[in-house]
Amino acid sequence: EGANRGALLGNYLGDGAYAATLQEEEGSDEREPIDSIEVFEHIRDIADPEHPYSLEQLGIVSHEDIKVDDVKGVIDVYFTPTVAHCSMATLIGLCIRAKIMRVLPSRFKVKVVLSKGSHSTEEAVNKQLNDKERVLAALENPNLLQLVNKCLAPTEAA
Amino acid sequence: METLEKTHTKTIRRCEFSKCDTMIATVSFDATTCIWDKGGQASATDAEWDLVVTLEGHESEIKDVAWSPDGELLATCGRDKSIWIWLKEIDDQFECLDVLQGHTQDVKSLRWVPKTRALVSASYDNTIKIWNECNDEWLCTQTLDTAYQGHESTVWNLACNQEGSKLLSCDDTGMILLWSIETCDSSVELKLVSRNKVPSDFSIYSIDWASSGLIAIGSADNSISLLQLERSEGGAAGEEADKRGNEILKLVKEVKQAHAGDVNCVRFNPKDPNLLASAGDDELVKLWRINDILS
Repeated sequence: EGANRGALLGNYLGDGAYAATLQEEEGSDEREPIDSIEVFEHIRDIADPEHPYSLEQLGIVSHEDIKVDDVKGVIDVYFTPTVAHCSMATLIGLCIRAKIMRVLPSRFKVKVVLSKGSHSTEEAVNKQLNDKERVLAALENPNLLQLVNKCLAPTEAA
Repeated sequence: METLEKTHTKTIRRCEFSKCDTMIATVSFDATTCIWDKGGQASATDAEWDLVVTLEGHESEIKDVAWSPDGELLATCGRDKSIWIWLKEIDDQFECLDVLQGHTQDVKSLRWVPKTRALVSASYDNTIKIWNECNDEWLCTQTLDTAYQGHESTVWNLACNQEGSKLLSCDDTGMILLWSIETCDSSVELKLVSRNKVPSDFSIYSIDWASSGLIAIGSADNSISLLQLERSEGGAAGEEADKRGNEILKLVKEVKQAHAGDVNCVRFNPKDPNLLASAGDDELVKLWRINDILS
């Protein structure tokens, strides 16, 4: 049955993809649990789009505002912009999401939302940040991607 | 098996066979619709599919495509908030008949009402709109929003039963709404029958209704669930509720971890309701036998 599945997958995805699937299945026993401190380590040094400070330095993210359930595979990140009408809130959220997507395993369901009452258009920003098609479209936009990469650069230096 | 490739430059969001199975329409985030033709050899299993035309017009990502029940029309919708209606002409050319504006955000999906030329669309703006045809123009005759007890989050997908008497819509918070499709002065209208919540709070990205009556949903929690309609006991009685059947959705079976990622699409085989196809973020397409899931 495994060989059949391999042939089928090979047809759909190319043999390289099947090999990758196999490898993933074999390596799945060595899964490392992830906690809120680890998630925080990945996002604390993201640069603010407007200021020469990191999200941690500006108090936008903190490890207390990250909830992780490793067994269920859920990560919820709450962030707090410096001012309630911050026009960069969506970009900051997008940076947090992009960083998590790049470094953490895809088994996690990630939610990135504004802390309750922290922004004047909280609902609209949250909706945009958690629509996967909007997020992917944003990250395919060359100008936006350049901005995101600039904010993420300090997190990759270490 | 054949791969249709090197045409779309971004994600392909949806594809659909034409009513006579000789064509496939594919829509992509690259803002184009491609029409593929089996080259007139409808019966040959090894026929080659050729790209016959690329339809341009949408400004950005196209999210859904649907052939009309009579096979003459194609509808596409996307992030530019518009819906385009295309007429298939004799020589495989397509003419744009109408561009429908009305949604205030991305149009996530659309379906034709069986046996009619009416179209239903669902959007990121939390509404469902009904479009009725009048002389090759489509007019929005109904907007189902919270004033109609409609959805309170993005409406991701729609499904009609085979008879065309009922419609289901699913949203970002895991709500599924059941609507009755009624015809009033030759115009199609929807009326709410029941609001249904599945156990999970995750988005439901896809819903489909088999000719057997069984309903399938695909969700962001990696699961596929099978549901069926059931007459509710008690609830709001009265003439109006009676007429509409007073039905609710009941969970028949849940397949947890059906994919190792979001389930983006579920579709029954139109000729064999025992066969279900699903597509996931794990980059796999899976085929399921309903009998096996239920046993």
